[in-house]
Amino acid sequence: MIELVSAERCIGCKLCVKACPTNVFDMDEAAKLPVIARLEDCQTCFMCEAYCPADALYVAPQAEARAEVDEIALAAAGMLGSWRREIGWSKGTDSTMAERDTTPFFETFTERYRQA
Amino acid sequence: MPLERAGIDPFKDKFPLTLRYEGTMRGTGGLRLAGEDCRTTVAGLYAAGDAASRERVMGAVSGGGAYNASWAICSGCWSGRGAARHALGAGKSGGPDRRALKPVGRHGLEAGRETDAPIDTTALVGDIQRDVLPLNINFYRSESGVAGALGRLDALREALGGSVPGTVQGRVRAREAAGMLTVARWMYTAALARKETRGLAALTEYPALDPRQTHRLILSGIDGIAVGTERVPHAEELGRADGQAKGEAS
Ligand SMILES: Cc1cc2nc3c(=O)[nH]c(=O)nc-3n(C[C@H](O)[C@H](O)[C@H](O)COP(=O)(O)OP(=O)(O)OC[C@H]3O[C@@H](n4cnc5c(N)ncnc54)[C@H](O)[C@@H]3O)c2cc1C
Ligand code: SF4
Ligand code: SF4
Repeated sequence: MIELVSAERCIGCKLCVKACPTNVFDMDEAAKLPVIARLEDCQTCFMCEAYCPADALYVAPQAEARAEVDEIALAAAGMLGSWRREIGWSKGTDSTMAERDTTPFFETFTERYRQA
Repeated sequence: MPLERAGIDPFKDKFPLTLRYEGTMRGTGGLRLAGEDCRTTVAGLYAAGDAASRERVMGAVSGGGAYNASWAICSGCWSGRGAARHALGAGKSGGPDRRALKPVGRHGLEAGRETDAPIDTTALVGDIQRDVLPLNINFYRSESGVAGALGRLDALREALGGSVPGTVQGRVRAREAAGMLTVARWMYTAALARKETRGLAALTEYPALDPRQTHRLILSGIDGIAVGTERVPHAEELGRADGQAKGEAS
């Protein structure tokens, strides 16, 4: 579930609020910071993290239990923004996950099988 | 990626697995299509993807992990074209459809309110899940287990008569709860109507396939649910072949 909104990193762009398919966040307009308003609705889809341009969010892999997270440790481990980099949505990443995915289509399998 | 984040190497480490089962014939059932342009039996209402029934492409198994995505794309194109045609010129007069439509929905909506007390959607959703999520009720299905759950779900309908919160989230939740409850009741009603085991539909009391039930189940209604059947091509041939096989064996 979503466990961290880093007030330090967040630029208040609201993208996570819009991207979350289950509407977990509310925007605190005064603080210009998204708040996790409905944690119980989080489906651990990592979508908000993928969209966040400031690497300010962390979704823990535990989908049903709370996980303790520590921003400094996560940052030190390179975890903040890691999913966005992985799929190639961050600026400066030189490939996308789709490009790296070399799983052959079924046709390729059957073709190989026929030739064998 | 979730495994990586949790520090689990799936090739070396043990990790807990659980079966998630919402128990509908997801990927098969849906709004019944009544034509190749994905029309439904309600004039002007077209269905596509997960919302549409897919038994014609799936038979008695689920389209999940298989046909569903392509079905969503294909039926989306067909239904979009159908709906556009309808809007342009399918009215009775041959011109555009200009019926003055008014909402008739009641379940989980203010229009269906019977008391002033607000709908407690959290409690209602919890109650529904208590009869839908347990594998002992919904995966290992028995006639008594399913009938018990259906009875309890039927009794929950009353809870939908409360008032609906004014917030966007509150309105969505109330409608979602109404949808969950109705689908759960449809699901168990259909499960009890098929007294055999076929494809993904199973009842412990009827472990074998019964050729006489080679038909589709058509459900209609919300307050009272009616069950009908629809013939499928070749059903009779299958029945005859089975009868012959039995005759030869005896
Ligand atoms: C975990 C999982 C794995 C799957 N794996 C596969 C697979 O490997 N292969 C395969 O073929 N299929 C797979 N499927 C099925 C496939 O993903 C779906 O069949 C397909 O995405 C359905 O598309 P759809 O457009 O019909 O519905 P959806 O993609 O569900 O779209 C419905 C949309 O309607 C919106 N909506 C709902 N209510 C309202 C409202 N009141 N007002 C406005 N909008 C609303 C929703 O937000 C949503 O965006 C899988 C499904 C799941 C859940
Ligand atoms: S992980 Fe998905 S559901 Fe959870 S907050 Fe982020 S976008 Fe929303
Ligand atoms: S997407 Fe990131 S930067 Fe933008 S509001 Fe959300 S947390 Fe802040």
